[in-house]
Amino acid sequence: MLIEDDIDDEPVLPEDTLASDKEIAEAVAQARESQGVQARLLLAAKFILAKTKELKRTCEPEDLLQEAILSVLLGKRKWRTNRVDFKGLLVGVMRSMASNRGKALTKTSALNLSLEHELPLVGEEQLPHNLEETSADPETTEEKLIRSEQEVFEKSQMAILLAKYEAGSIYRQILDMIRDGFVSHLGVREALGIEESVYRNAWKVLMRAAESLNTCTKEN
Amino acid sequence: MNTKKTPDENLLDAQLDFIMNGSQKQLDEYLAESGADVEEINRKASLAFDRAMDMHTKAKQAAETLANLSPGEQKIIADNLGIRRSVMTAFREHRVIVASIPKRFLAQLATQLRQTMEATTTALSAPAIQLSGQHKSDQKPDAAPDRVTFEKLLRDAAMTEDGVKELMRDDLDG
Repeated sequence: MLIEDDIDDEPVLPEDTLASDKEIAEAVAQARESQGVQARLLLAAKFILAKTKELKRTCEPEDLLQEAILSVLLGKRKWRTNRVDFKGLLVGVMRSMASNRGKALTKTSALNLSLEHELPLVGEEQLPHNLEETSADPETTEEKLIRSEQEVFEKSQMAILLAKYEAGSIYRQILDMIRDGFVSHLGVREALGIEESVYRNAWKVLMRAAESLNTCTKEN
Repeated sequence: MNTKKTPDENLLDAQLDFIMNGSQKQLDEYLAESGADVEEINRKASLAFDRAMDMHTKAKQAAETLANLSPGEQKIIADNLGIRRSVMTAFREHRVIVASIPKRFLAQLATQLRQTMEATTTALSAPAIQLSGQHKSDQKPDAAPDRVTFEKLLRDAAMTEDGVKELMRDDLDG
């Protein structure tokens, strides 16, 4: 269960307006009645989960959505109504839960001890580890390996998409714009001076490519 | 702290913006072109909502049961579980890090409360129910109490070493 020790990592500011239990229950019921909203939230969960290497092996999109709704209902995650609407809240909670849980899963038991001769040689000269430094490092060798694997995995998704399309193509131009920061699709389209229908079709192609990539990496 | 987003976080922002804010027509086109089973998506999403609402009801019930225990009931349950009253109080105030509680103990606590283990676990992970007269003037109403591990709680309650070891056993069978 993701819910067990999930914590709200956003501070409540003095100007924040917190939703009451009744308002939250009403928002959940309204979302439950709207198939359009539900479907969007499940798709969002799918894309969020696809960005985690460890969690997506043990958690389905519907589980992530369920835990996010439960966390909000329980009051573990506060809804600041002045900052975000209910759909936005659930997306934010899912992203935060997936990220926190993904980090937790890379933490391995402190009982996974490494013997001196098992430690990999380090640096260009492949020297043995300085054990004083090793013991002072809170991260075990296995944790480092998993973290580095996760970093490569995260970088690779955008990298693979960029490599898939030729420089100068509309797909590559869109990805290049988004890579450096995303505000809105309208902003990207206007900055590139592309017609709305052309942009829309190109973006759908990129969405499908990313989804197909997510499916491939889940199987690996 | 470096808060600059990675290229992949920016990509996810763009994907989520399309999913959550794109027009229904655009989303329908995308789903159709990607061969998605829309009925299955709707079914799974509804199930996620229903399960969350159902678990919320059960967890609320477990939290209320825990909060409304009389002093006599608290003593009986504490004795049955082999813990001190101060540990029981910490459970009632949701001051325990849930992941640190052995499954075996959680199962026993759930049995004592006549609740399911899942409902008990979820209830304990939520902010405590504010009972009337419980609010301290120097504490903000929404301030969460500091949580401690189950083992620390037992040691702070001056339980014997053997008692701590027994309670920290994590096998569900024994």
